[in-house]
Amino acid sequence: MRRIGFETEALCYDDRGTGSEIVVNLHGGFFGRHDFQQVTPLLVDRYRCITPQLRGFTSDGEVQDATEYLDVWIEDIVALFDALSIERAHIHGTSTGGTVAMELAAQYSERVSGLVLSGVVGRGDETTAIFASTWMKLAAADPTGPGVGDLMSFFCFSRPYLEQLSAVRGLVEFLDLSLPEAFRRPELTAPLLMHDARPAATLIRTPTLILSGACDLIAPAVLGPSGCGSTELATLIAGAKCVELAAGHAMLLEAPDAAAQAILAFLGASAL
Amino acid sequence: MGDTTLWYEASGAGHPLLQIHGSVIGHTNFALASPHLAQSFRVIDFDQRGFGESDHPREGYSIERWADDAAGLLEALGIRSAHVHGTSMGGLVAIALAARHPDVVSGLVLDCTLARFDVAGRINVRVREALLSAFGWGEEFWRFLAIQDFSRSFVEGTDFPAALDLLRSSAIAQNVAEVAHGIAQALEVADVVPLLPNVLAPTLVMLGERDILTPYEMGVSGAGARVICERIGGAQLATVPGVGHINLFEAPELSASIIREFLTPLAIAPAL
Repeated sequence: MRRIGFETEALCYDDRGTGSEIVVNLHGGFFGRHDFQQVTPLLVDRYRCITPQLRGFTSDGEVQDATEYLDVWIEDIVALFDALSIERAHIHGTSTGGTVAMELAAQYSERVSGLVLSGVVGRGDETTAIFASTWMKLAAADPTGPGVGDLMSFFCFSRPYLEQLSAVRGLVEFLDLSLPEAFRRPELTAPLLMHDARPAATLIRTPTLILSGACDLIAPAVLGPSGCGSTELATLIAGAKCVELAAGHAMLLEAPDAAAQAILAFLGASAL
Repeated sequence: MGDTTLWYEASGAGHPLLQIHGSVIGHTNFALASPHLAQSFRVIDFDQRGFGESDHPREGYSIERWADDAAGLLEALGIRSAHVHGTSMGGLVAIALAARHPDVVSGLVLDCTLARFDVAGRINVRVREALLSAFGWGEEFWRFLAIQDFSRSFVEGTDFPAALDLLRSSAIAQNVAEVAHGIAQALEVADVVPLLPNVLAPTLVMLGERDILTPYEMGVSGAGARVICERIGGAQLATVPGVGHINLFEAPELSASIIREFLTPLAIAPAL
C-alpha cells in the first residue's frame, strides 16, 4: 500500500500494472479494498490499476455517516488524480463505490474516460432500507459476534459460491479479510445504499458498463417500486451497456474471470 | 399426543386437508388461505409442538417427531385419509408424514419448501438466531423476516402492513429462547431427501417465483424444489408468479386455487 498525505490524513492505495491507461477502483462497504483483490491481477497486463482505500475505512476512531463522506471521497479521488498527475482515467466503482463513481463521473466528466459500475443501485428500495437498518443495529448490538458476518454472507454471495467458500476456504477465514474495517462499520456504507444517484446518472456522458449479478440480493437488477435497480439505471445513463454475471452481490470476488473479461472487452472498445 | 397437547381448528366441509405450518409463524401461516380452501375441503389447521397454542416442551424437536404428531392428530380426530399441505418447514414434516404414514396421505402439496438445507440456509438459521439474541422478538426481527419472506414489490404494497402484523402476531413469540433454539437446531440438521422416494401420494410442489429462502435450485449440499420434483414419482411443479417465500400471504387466493385444482380431481379413499 502506498500513501499520499492530505491536509488531515493520508490516503492509502494499491498501484499495480504498468499500462498507459489507468483504472481507478472504488470499493464498496462490505469488503473494503478487498473487493478488487481477485479481479485486479486479471487486468494489470493491460491497465495500471489504482485502488485507494476510501477515507474512514482506515480509521480506528469514530467514523462519520456515509452521507457525510460522499463529497469527501469524491474530492479525495480528484486529489489523488492530481497528486499522481493523472489527467483522465477509467473508474470502476462497485456496490456503494459505484454510487461514488456515478457522482464523480457526473461532476468531473473531463477526468473520467470510461465508467464501470458493478453491483450498483440508482437508489435502494424499502427492502434495502430494512436490510441496511438490520445491519447497522446488529453491528451495534453485537459488534464482535459472528452474526454480522453470517448476515453479510447470506446477502453478498450466491448459493453456489457459499458452497465453495464453505468447502474450500472456510467462510470465517475468508470474511476475516475484511473485518473489522468494513463489515462492522455499516455507518460508512449503509446510508449510501439509499442515496439517490438518479440525478447524477442522467448527467453522465462517459461510456458506461454496468455489471449485475444474477443472484444479487442487495442490488438486484429490478428493485421494488421506490428503488432504482441496474435495469432502470441503464436507461438513465446514455448508451450504458449491461452485462449479467452468474454471481451474487460480491461478483468481483465470485466471478473475477467473467468480470475481467467483460471489463477488458468494454474498456478495449475503440469508442473509449 | 402422548405427553403433548396440540391446538387445532377445523373449518369447511369435504375431504380433510391437514395444513402443516412453517417455522416461527405457527398456524397463522394459513390465516389468509384457509377461508378459500375451506370452500372445498374440511381444513384442519394446528400448531405443531413448540408453536402457538400447543405445548412448548424444552427439548425433543425433530422433523420425525413433528410428522408423528401430525399422524397422531389425524388418528385422534378419527381421520384415516387426508390431503396434506405443508409449507416451508411444514413441507419437510409433510414429506416425512407421507413417507412414514403413506396410507394416511391421499394427496400432498409441498409449498415453498426444501428437503435439506444448503450452506446458505444453514447460515440463515444462524442469522435469525443472532437477531433473536440481539433484539428478542422485537420489531427488528420481524422486519428482517419480512424482507426474506416477501417480494420487494410486496414490501412496498398496501397489503404489507397487515401481513407484517400477521407475521408479528404469530404465537411463537410466546416461546422461551430454549424452545426457539431447539426448533432452529432441528431445522438446520433436517434431511428428508432419503424419504423422497418413499412418498407415494400424488404430489404438487409449489413455490413463489421470487422466493430467496427456498428457491427452486439450492446450493449443491441442499435439496430444493428441483430435487424434490425429481425424486418423488410424478410430482408436478407450480410457480406462483411475482411472489416471495410466503406465497400464502402475498397471493392467498391464487395459491388456494392452484392447490384446489390439484387436489380436487384426485381419487380418494373414504376419509373416516
